[in-house]
Amino acid sequence: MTELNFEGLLSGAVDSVLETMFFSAAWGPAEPETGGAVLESRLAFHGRPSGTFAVSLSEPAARMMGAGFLGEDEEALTDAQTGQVVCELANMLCGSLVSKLESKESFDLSPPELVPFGSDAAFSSGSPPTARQSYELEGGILTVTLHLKAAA
Amino acid sequence: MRQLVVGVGDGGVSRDPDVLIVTYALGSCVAVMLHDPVARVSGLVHYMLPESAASSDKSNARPWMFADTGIECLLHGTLDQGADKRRLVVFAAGGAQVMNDNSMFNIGKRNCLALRKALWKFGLVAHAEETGGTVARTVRMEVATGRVWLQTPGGEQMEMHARRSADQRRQA
Amino acid sequence: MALNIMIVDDSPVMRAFIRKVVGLTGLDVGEYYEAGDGEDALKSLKGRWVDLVLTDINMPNMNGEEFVRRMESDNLLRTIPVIVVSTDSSDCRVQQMLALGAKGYVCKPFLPEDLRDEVERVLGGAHDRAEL
Repeated sequence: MTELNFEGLLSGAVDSVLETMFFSAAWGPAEPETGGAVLESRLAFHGRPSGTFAVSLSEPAARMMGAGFLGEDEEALTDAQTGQVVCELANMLCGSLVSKLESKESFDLSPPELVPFGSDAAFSSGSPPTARQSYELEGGILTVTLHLKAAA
Repeated sequence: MRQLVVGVGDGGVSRDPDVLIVTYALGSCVAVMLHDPVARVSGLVHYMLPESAASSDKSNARPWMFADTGIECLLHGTLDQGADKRRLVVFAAGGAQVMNDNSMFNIGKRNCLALRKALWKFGLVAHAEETGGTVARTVRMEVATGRVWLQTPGGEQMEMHARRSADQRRQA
Repeated sequence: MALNIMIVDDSPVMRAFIRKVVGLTGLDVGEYYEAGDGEDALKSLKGRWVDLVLTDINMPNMNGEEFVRRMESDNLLRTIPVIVVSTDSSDCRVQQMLALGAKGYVCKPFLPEDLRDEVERVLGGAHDRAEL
């Protein structure tokens, strides 16, 4: 698949997931977050293809989306809940994307985990991502990163 | 029938069977209509903006102006007049959008997202929605029956009908 | 009569979301039971009356596929209707889970009203069987 297709698929997954269950939207491309509090979640997917997927989200945006997802006021959200919402966002974005990469075969997802923001190398073995996109959200920046493993 | 006109950024609730609630010029604004068919209570909010948090002074003075505070006011207003939340029929209309604008300035789209977010927060789901598109709408609602009609600038008038739930389909 | 619902998903916030959706159905719910994986869910089902199970697929310890398989192999548990709620929308997975005995399948992301409608559809069918 060409890089252009991955960008389109990532954007499609972001639009669908954010609007359907998080009552939010991506308002166009953005530069990746470089400062401020950021929450990051990563998971692996196994099937054809296999790879890893990561989501990083500015903390204010994460709290806003968490409140929307849970139907609560932001002030009522705990840090743990905000982290769990970011993990569920990663889970859904990854699942939505992988389903489009190969719709005929099933796949397995590892449980998403919160990780220190920016610790790329340990997760991806230092290889450049297959695709990475950042989006402007109300409250901050969402960045999604996809690494596909080369077929054996 | 007497008209109760709800202005932009305002709302109203009634149990008077002779009243028709009307709101005009729903462009990017959204109107939410609630009706309890047993208590015969109806209410409507015409909100302009999605979130009250950005303007706490205004949301205190004009709660109907925002999706979150406006829908909350509408819900409490109907409950105060004897409605039961479990019986409420929820309709929504408006949120027209400028074509090809996918930026944060697309107030119509933001208002539509805020509608669903607020309904979810309060444990409600719309039974019918006529939202998005590019035309402004006028809404008329009969308090006694909960019937809602929309009208566009082209003059077309249509009645909104609740999407049937699985329970209702089984009983048909 | 009040219904008992079990929600199986390794995400606590996803379990909270599904619980809120069940609240939209207007069903009279007696108890909600929650589990983080299939193994915990099976332990929780022992000695409890449950009217509906909603389960994810991708979970640690025991995934949803194995969980539904084990339910179907138990004479009592197989009578409990199961709805799968999963990010996997591949045709083969959907067919597989329905063939294993699931009565419904909803793909994430989903509109709250879509899951609500599926719950009403599946329980409507279960109630119809009970009336025969």
